[in-house]
Amino acid sequence: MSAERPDFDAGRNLLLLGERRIIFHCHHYNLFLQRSIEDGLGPEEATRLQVAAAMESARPLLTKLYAKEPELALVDKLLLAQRLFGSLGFGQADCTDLTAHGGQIRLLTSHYAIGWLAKWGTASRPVCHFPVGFWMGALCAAAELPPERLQGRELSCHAQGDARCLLEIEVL
Amino acid sequence: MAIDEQKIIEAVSQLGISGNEEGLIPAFGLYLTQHMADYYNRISFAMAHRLERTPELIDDGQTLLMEAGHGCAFHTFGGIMKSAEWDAVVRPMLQTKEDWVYGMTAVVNTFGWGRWAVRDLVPGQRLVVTVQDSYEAAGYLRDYPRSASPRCYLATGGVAGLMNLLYVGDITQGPELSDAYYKQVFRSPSRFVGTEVLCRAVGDPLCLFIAQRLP
Repeated sequence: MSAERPDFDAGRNLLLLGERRIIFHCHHYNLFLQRSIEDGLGPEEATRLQVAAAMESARPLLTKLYAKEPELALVDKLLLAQRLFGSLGFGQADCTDLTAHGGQIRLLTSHYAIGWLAKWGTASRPVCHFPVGFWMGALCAAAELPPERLQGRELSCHAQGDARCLLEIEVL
Repeated sequence: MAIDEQKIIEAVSQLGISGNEEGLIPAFGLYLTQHMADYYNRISFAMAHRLERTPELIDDGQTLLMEAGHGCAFHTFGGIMKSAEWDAVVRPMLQTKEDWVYGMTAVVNTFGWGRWAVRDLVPGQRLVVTVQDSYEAAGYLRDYPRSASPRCYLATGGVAGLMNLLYVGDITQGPELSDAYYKQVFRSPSRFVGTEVLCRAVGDPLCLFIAQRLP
């Protein structure tokens, strides 16, 4: 079993990765839920919640995976996160510009942007809140930074008509 | 009963569903993710808690989250039951419409959602499902005090959605899973609604769901 693939407990129907539960869901549910959170909380608070929740979810999972390979340098840890991001179906990311001081991540494909376009057409706002938080969590764990030092945002989004999604992480 | 659940679980779990070279998982006419349960739980429960601060909005939060479960059932369960993989693995075991319920439940038992089991099925009238290790209830118990109300919104919508697909619509006939068909089925006056009767998040030993037609 690869480090980036969940283990399946068939008796209990549990998928575990980095001691965290993994579950299958499709773009219809992911995007409907995202829109429901926006309906319930308003777009700005919903964005903050989803970014924070993604960071909270990704950071401990990746910390466990990084701990299995303690010899990895920062760049190798980020490449592991990049492989994980793709193997879980979130998209094809290019994190080569990311350092311990922040940087940008290009999403050549994004599950959330493609799913939004397929389901509802062009978006009025960026939609890749989970990827922003995921990459904040990945950098936080890889560089062993306090999470309070990180801020993230999506600079351009394929769901809004841009060619690619571009994420930016700032380390304060 | 012709359904061999273990055979279905083995076959589906060995499909090796994982991101392709584009980092996407196109399958069953959908884009799938192997996602983090912690993420779903945090955003769902945080929104529900926020709306629960205002008494007249309590039902709104539950309704939004269960409606997401209906959509999941319609597209995910529906997409799977129309797929080539279903035809190859499950359809040879199907003899009755009720077998479709058992077959889909077996497939759900590869999703990581916890162990689903049909406790009772009255054709066209009622479905009772138990879930051990529900990711929603388990996540709630880990992060919050014991709840005063059930918390498995996705599963509640999912159980009702499965019955709607079979007994309000008819997924066995391979309908197009369009928005119009969704409205026809899930807004029907004779649609099924789900209720979580037992939930680990409130202290019960397992989670139990009933789907019945709208009174």
